[in-house]
Amino acid sequence: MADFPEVSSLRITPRAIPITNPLDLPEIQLRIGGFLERKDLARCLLVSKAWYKLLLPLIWKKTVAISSELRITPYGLMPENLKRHSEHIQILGIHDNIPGQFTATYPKLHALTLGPGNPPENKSFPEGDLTDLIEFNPSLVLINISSLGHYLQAPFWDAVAGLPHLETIQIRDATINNEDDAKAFWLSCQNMENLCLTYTSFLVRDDIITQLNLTKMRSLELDFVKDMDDMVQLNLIRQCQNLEELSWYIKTHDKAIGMFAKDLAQRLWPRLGGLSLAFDISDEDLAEVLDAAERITILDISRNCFGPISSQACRRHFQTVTILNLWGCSGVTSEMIQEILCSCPHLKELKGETVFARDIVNGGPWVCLSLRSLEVCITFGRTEQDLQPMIFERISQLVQLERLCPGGMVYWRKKEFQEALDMRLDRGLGALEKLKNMRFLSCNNTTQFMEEKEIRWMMASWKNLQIVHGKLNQTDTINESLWELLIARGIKRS
Amino acid sequence: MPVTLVSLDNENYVVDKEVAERSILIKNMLEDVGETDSPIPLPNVTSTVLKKVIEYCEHHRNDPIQVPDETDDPRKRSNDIEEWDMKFMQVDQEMLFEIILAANYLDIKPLLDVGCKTVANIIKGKTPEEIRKAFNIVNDFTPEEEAQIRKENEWAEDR
Repeated sequence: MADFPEVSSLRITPRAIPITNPLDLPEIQLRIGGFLERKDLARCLLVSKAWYKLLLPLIWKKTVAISSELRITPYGLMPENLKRHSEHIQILGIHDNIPGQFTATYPKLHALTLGPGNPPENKSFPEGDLTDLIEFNPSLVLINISSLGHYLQAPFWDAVAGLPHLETIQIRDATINNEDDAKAFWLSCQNMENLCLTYTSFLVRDDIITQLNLTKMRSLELDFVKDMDDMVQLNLIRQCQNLEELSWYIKTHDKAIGMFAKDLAQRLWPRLGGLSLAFDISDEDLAEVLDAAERITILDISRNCFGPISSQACRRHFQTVTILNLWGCSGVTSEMIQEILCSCPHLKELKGETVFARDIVNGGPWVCLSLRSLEVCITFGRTEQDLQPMIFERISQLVQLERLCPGGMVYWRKKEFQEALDMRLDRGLGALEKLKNMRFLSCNNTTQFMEEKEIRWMMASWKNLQIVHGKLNQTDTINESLWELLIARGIKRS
Repeated sequence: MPVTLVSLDNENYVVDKEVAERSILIKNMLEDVGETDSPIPLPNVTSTVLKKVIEYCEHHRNDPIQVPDETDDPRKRSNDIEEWDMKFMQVDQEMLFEIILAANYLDIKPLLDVGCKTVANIIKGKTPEEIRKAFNIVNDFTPEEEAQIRKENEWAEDR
């Protein structure tokens, strides 16, 4: 055996003092703490002073405070305790802030969620306290507000505008029906990088919108914004010239989508790579948008009238697209899916509709070798069972696959084809042994006849498997016994 | 290509490169020095522990490289230890601790995680006094301090 002292480059410094208890090493103890639930961590606090000091921040890092007067939790989270441990709190949810109980400075506070009390109509947030809470916490990066309605007034938004690190505002189910308040809100958005409005109703005038400087905005989500005309919404989008991602869900879109396509063609948003549009947009309008867009990486056009014209236009983006969602589009054909699988080299996620095994089994090789998630409903004719192993063979080439849903999320089920991908070893399941990264399997919308040998095969072949959906065997007792096996391994059922 | 590993007590172990490279420390060293026949000294690991670690790496030689969890949720699960690992970890506490230390030093994340999960499972459901007993830890709190901590954090026990 060669004598190693010569090899100076392989020398490793031995540890100075031998340590025999890894529990004395903070990094290891924190790792162990990461595997414990909060109730176990709470008991660990009482073990010793060293444990207390190390584990306390884990308990308080993410905290949801609900007014103790509502007695939502048996013990209530006493405001004085919250304040005492304020230094550890990074994520804080406050529901029902009865007279400013939780108004304090939390030095590491990163994300703040403000929600309604319980019952939800008990909107007892005093305006001034909320404004103080914002002003006291300049470390905030994200604010999430839901169902707080008319308490969002100008002074609050002025305080938000003053937060130096704030990047993201998410608002759900809120109303601003006063012009001054709405103006203050929009002005505060000038510093934002991400804005998400869901089911909100904001009174807003076009002349306020067109004066805004929203050049910092990188992602914008307008999800059923009420009381705001489509053209006003488009004007808002126009102000965000550095936009990288846009989600725009509107119900009426006679001219707004067409105008949007024209703006796209004018290169109004040179950085725009992510696009989600809904609902029921016509094949022609979609095609116009896809023709006008320069390079799309994320394309979510689920629940639209995607059809022959827009699928033609979609080809322009095959080289760049990484996420493609065509779920709920009645016009998607197997041939389109086959073409996508054979033409999109960078595709990571594909959600589609029903495809016929016989249409995707032939043709050139699938080039989307970095695909992580495949959600299409693969169906077989009653006499096409011999195609099963061939489909497994095709899927087995997608070695990066982490999520497989061979039943898809079917919106338009084509009734005449009922047979699904049959996840049995004698049908060719064994080919999927190559998919070492598999984490998620959904058998929803499929009929399965798996047995113990299939389940044992999965647990042995897919070491990262974490979640399984759906029925594994049509016989309830067998199904349950298979689930026992999976659950014993810690695999989640949903 | 085989690689020779040398334990603290000078025992040599010849293993496949693929097996040795489950250790990120060794993998990086081999990348730095390139092709080499020289034995790799591991002066922090005794032969009994090294043997055990090699057994683990042999069994997991074909596992995918662990990708860091994308979700921000730090609360990971400790009930997902696979059968083989569970049996592998049925050792006395001293050995368990030695394996954790070796995995930490050799930078074998999956083994470190299995070790930490095993410790977490020992802690689960135990009272503070039972935890102290299990790990031979001395209680250095006064009864008043203990009562105070209990009061401030009892909300956390609720979920």
